[in-house]
Amino acid sequence: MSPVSPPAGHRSKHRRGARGPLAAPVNEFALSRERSAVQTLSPGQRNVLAGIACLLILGAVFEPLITAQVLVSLATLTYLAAITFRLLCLRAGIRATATIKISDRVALAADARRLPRYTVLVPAFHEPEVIGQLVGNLGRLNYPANKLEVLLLLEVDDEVTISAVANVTLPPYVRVLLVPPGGPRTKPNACNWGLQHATGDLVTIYDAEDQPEPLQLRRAVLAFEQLPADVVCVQAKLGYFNVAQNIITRWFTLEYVTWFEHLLPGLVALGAPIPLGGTSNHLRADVLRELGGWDPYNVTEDADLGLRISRACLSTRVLASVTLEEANSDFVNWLKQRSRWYKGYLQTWLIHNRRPGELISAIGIKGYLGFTLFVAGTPLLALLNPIFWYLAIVWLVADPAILEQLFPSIVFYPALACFLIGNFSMIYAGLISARAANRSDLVFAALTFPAYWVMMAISAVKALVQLVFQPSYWEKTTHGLTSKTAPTEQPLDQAGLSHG
Amino acid sequence: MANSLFDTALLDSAPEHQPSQVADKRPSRPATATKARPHLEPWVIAAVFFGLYLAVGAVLVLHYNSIPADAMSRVANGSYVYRGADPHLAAVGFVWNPLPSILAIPLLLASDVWPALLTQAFAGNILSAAVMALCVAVLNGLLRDLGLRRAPRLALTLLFGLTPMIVYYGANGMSEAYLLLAQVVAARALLSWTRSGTRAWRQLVVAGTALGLGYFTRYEALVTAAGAVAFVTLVAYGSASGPRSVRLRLALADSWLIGLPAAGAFAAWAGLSWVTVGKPFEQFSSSYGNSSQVAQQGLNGSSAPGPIAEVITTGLQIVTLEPLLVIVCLLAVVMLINRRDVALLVPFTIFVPVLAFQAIAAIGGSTFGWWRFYIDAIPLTVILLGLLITAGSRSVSATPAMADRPTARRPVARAAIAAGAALVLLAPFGSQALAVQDDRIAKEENPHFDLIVHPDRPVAIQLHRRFQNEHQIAAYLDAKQLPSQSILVDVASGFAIVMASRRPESFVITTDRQFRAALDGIGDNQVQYILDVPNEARGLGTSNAVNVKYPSFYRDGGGVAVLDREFPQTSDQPSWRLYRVIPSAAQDEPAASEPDTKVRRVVPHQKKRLTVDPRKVRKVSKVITRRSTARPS
Repeated sequence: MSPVSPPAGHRSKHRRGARGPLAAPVNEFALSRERSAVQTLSPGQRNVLAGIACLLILGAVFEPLITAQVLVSLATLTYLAAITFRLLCLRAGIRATATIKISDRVALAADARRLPRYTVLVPAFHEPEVIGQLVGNLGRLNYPANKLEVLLLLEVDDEVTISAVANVTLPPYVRVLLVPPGGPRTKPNACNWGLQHATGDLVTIYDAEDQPEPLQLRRAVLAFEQLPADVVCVQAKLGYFNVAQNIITRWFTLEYVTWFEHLLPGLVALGAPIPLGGTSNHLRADVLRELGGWDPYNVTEDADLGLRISRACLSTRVLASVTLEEANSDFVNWLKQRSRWYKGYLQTWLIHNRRPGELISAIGIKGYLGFTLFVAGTPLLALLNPIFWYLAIVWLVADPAILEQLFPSIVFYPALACFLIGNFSMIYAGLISARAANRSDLVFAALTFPAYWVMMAISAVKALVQLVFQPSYWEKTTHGLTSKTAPTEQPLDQAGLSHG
Repeated sequence: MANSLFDTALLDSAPEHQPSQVADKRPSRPATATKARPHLEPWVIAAVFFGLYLAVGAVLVLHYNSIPADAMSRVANGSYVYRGADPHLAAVGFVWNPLPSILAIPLLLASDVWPALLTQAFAGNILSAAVMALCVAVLNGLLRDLGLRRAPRLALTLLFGLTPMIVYYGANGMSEAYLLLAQVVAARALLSWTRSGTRAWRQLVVAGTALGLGYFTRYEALVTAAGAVAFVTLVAYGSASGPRSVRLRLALADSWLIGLPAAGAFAAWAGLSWVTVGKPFEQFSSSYGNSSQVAQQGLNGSSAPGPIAEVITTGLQIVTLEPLLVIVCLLAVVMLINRRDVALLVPFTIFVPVLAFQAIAAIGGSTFGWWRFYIDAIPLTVILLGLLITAGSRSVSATPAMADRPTARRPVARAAIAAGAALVLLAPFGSQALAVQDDRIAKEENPHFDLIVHPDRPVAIQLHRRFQNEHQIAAYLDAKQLPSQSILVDVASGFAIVMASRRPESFVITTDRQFRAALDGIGDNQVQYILDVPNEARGLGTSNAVNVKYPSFYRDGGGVAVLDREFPQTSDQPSWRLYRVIPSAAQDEPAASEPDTKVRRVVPHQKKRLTVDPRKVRKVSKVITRRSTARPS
């Protein structure tokens, strides 16, 4: 099993794409620079942001109180909208029949000869220890070996993992692909390389340590057969195998239960775009290539792909099959991972908002609102939360006069209602999610969820600091994450990139 | 949204309606007819009963001037939020639960067009009529869920909705309807939950939310919520399988689901109260709260009877509300033991804790022991009856013992059930009609009954004149065209004056954030007049803020004011005296020769405006924001 060398010319091809004008592609699948995070802001967006900044500065200098009141009012409105949308989404998700269920019997009965070729992409970087697990995890997949192709995507210079692979006997359906250097060293870049070499009609991604449910591929095939042609992606649910490790993993699990059991089906039911989860999304290979593959510069390339699917008037459904992952059990690691997700969300929102009118006409005003409240609202509200918590504490403890001015009655009462009803309903929603998913082990996590929100707030601050005060950091992102990410951190990045 | 009101399967994708479980040998009706009716039936019922309650309310208020003081002050609390010199939300107060008052505000905005909405608190009647009508409609849905056929279902629904006490409390603007609605919604949801074998957890969300919202209308909702949590925990534990720890975990998950909204509502309300007035439990600690009122006024103004007498009164109050309640309960218990059907426990869980709580409180002398406190006996009886009829009909048709008998006997058994049910449902019409004539049982309702039936009795005459004096005072003060916040009054006694005034901003009222400063600075500020009631229990005189500061104020003006005019008592409301404030300069004149004391007073002759900026005192902990009114909810 010798690694396949990259074909000559890849590097120059890629570079040509990266240096062209906005229309030039950033990957082999003709994804334009405009639709890529290679540049975070388009010139137009830069101008708009600069305009808003000027307004804010002028306001802060000449009418500081009114400016602050306007900001507080806007924040309150955003909270109200986001809370309402989230509750609607949860309600729709719990009622929804959007989750596609394929029974074991039907999945097993599918005729092996009729099953399509399936490509499983497994990107790995500096993860020698999980290579052994990989063989076991993917070996449990119930799919005819002659129809299955597992592409293990390794970086050319990742000697530790390459040598680990060399020490393992890989099953015949596993091919090792070495991703050529030159592009941004990200998971989507590796996946694009894999997609170029994939021979399957359907493609999915698993992380090396993922434990997909054995019948998942069969279920996905049958789901595609049953679903209308515009469904080009089915997203399996993600869960964790180390739920009970500590309270962080419990919160994380509850979050994922809410996300995959209710919010994603809710988004489907409401017709909003689905930010995909990083692994276990099953796609039609031809459509994926047409859509432009993955954006190698976006740190939540999965959420971005979900948006592109929606924009093309295609759709995503949720599949009742679970892939188990390892929940992040360490606070610092969790923080790094989460801040990266938030940054990626903001990136995704900005990329797709380069021409808001175009986006609205593509996904509809409802879809646009859903997209904005979810993809931009999640990090921004996580960011605003600590500010408003702080204000609430100050109000309770010191009650300075400035607060009374900051919150005129017309804002104060909605803000107070938001504070009380919003926080309560989010806790209750967590409890409902846990109960709806029959996860009574997560009740304690649901009741203590506010502590997790504090963690989210910290990671949102970190994401914002990177965004606002380290613009050079974004420059680096644009040209590839290689120099930024130390090797020890990379496996985490890989996990971090995998969220939808 | 609207449809879900009647469908406690709020979150269910499948409709909750179940086919009739009563074996019916008659040819079944076409499926379309039975499917269409249930959707229409509750709406028709809601509309009809809304019309009925509203009509009765209109006659009571607009024709007879029969306005319960509590109904009036609930509306008054809503009015302080948007009218007067210092409108703000916290003015709704913390002694009573705020939702009925807040709901009244949109209606009150139309009071310019129709003053009776405010001056006679008719907004409260519109709301109570709507809420009670919804309650009847939800009860109808509950009975449909039980599988009752249309005839018994409609009979139970109509007779419940027509029960005199239900009609009266639907019509009179009080808050009983809100509690009943929350409880009936919760009962319906819990019955669905038990029928589903505890799987329909969404019903727990419905019940929990209903009781959580119910807490914002009546404190008793918390008692019901406690009962419901205990019930859910026990039933969920009993029906779960697996090791003990797993069953306990499952049971706790379900109990949190139903209990969290009420717990959250309780915490939020206590927290807001604490932040705003510095006390978490105004209802219990405020001098305007229940306990204080009981202490001030005693039980119905008479010396407190012994506990034995209270037990008898309480018993009579419950029995006259539902004479056959005890028999229905016994039958239900027998059925429960025979069938082991936990559904029979649901009505006990929802309604009995409140009945018990009220009875204990009344016998212990910590509440007034009003008749209406036991109104839960009515839905308890009707729902138990519905369950018994369902079970009984099933026995007639389905149990082997009955099935063996000649079919000719079944109609007899059915007729017996029908007769028994009719007796249970009709008995309260007679007993309530009798009891309302007894002022020991129907302490509050009896005067209003007299008002209509015996208008010549003194108590009726007083009631007929209720608030007329206050309206005159308002007109007198309005004519003076006084400036903003120049008349100080404690609205616990004076709410009707401010409500009737067309210049509410000319008053400084207890809910104004400037009230405490205004009272403390009498003579130095813009307050020109003070309204006061005698310093006695009647009309909350002893807790009146003016009397607390100047105990002899009503008699002599406390040295800071001179009598302008007296408005002698004409009704059950106290007499009023209007005092004109002596400016400090005038008071100080004899001492003017002492230069030292005068130096600090910069411009003694100029009256200071009340300088408290309302925006600076949102958190009113420094200033009192108390509830305005007189009696327990």
